[in-house]
Amino acid sequence: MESEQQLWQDLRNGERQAQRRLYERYAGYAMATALRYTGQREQAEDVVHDAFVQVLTNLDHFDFRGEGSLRRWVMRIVANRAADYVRAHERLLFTDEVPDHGDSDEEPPAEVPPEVLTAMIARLPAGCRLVLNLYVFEHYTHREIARRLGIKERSSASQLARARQMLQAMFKQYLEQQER
Amino acid sequence: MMTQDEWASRLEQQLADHQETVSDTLWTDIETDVATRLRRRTRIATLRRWAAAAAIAAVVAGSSVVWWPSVPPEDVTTVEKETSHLAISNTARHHSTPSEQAEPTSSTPTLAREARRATPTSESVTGSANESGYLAEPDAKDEQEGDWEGANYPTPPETTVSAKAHTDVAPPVVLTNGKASAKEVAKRLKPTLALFTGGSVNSWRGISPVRMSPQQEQRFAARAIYLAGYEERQQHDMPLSIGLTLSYPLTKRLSLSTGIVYTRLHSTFTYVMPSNVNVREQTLHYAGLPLSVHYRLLSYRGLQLYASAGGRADWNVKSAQATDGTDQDAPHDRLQWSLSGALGVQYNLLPQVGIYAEPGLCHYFDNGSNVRNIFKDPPTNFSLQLGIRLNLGSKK
Repeated sequence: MESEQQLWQDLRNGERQAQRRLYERYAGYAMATALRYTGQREQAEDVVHDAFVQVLTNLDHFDFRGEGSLRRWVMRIVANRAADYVRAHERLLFTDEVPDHGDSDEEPPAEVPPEVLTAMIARLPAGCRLVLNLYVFEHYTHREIARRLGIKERSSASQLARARQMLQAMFKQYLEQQER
Repeated sequence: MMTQDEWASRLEQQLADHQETVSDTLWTDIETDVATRLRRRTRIATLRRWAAAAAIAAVVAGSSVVWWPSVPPEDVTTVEKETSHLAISNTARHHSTPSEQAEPTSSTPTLAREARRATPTSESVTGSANESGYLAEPDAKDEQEGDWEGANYPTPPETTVSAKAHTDVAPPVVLTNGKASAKEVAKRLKPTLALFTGGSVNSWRGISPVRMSPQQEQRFAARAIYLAGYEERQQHDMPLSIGLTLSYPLTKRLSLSTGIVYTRLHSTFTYVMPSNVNVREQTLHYAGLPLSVHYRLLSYRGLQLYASAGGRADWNVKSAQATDGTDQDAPHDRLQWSLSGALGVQYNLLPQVGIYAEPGLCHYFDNGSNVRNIFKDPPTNFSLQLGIRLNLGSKK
């Protein structure tokens, strides 16, 4: 596979084929990210479509900083688009009444395949799903999540704890079904 | 015991390289949309260039209308004399009988020269004349005889202009006591219109650490813990204001000014995390209503030095925000009050047009809004305003 630097050079030179190569290289990852946020394939494709249009019309604004930076930039745009899509199209209910269980022994089981894991995350309530994605995959702090979504920090932490609880319950159910 | 962060890290690792399939037609849709947007962008850029050129042309045309030499008021009497003289000579040409025509035509220049040389007290002067020789208010008898009011020189005896011709002459402004009323008008103070651009002369940049969440801080029984590898940077660009103000003189030195001002604020917030950097761009558009007083301190030839002080209310009419290139809902700032003081210097290129520079200080009051911008960081700024002032209808 060609390096990102080479791909970026070709993109800067305005090569149409380079745009196609960029899409083919990252569309799969983008779709996985979008599906984690939106939960539905059709909506996820809309997000991927908008994200790539934005990437390809704003190449002038990107500053290449080494291998991996182009992917990170594309994925960030996808994540931002997906988060905005969820905020615009889904009813978000944030509550800080869920008790924070803090640490526990339970961990995500390695036996759950990635596509099942993605589907489980997609089944979470919109608020929990959004906070989980921003915290786990985009590395936002609760403070940043609170600022971005216009909620309290406490609400963000509660939503994450609730998401973890629900996912652990889904993991347990899945593993029990697999054992049968 | 697995912490929240460890759990999150494990979940992330399991999905790190996961990909999903996309439909075959997706790329075609993307390609078409990209081409359309790039075409539209080019069209908009071209339209903007034309609009800028049209705006410049309008300013130049407007300035030239003001700049185009107009009749100075103090020359009213002179012009009127010449106008009446011309009227007489033209009338003589057009209304006299054919047999007389040659004479008036040929004598028209003669008439003018003779008229100018003639003394006001000559008997051939019609109408009453005061001691200075200028005609005062005409009486009815003079009008009936078709006298040309305003003419302060006598008719030479050889003139054969008929009486009827006189009545066709449009009477000029009546001279009263030897002084034209237009002079009084010229002395009146006139308002000025200013077009300017300016703003704070400084931008602002800051870096601040990121604190751990309060709940975590409680676990460590610490008052403040700053996260290593985390940082927030703020960059507030120099604001730009464009305004149009009208200044009305209260006295010879003091004037009151108001108008409308557009201000654009642009800021960049960078959130640095160990494995990620997020950049948020914020653009705020304000419409402002200024009110200020100007006091002229010195005036020397075309140069003026003045002091000004006032306030302004700015409304945030539009906000835009984008994080890593993605547009987002942007919160609006609250009404922003400010106070300013400045020393200005103006140079009059022409009687009607002057250019000015106004450096000063501006203080923005805390409006309690969470929207961060250069009005808050810092609240007091040095400002510089550069502009063009048009004196509406004033004389030098």
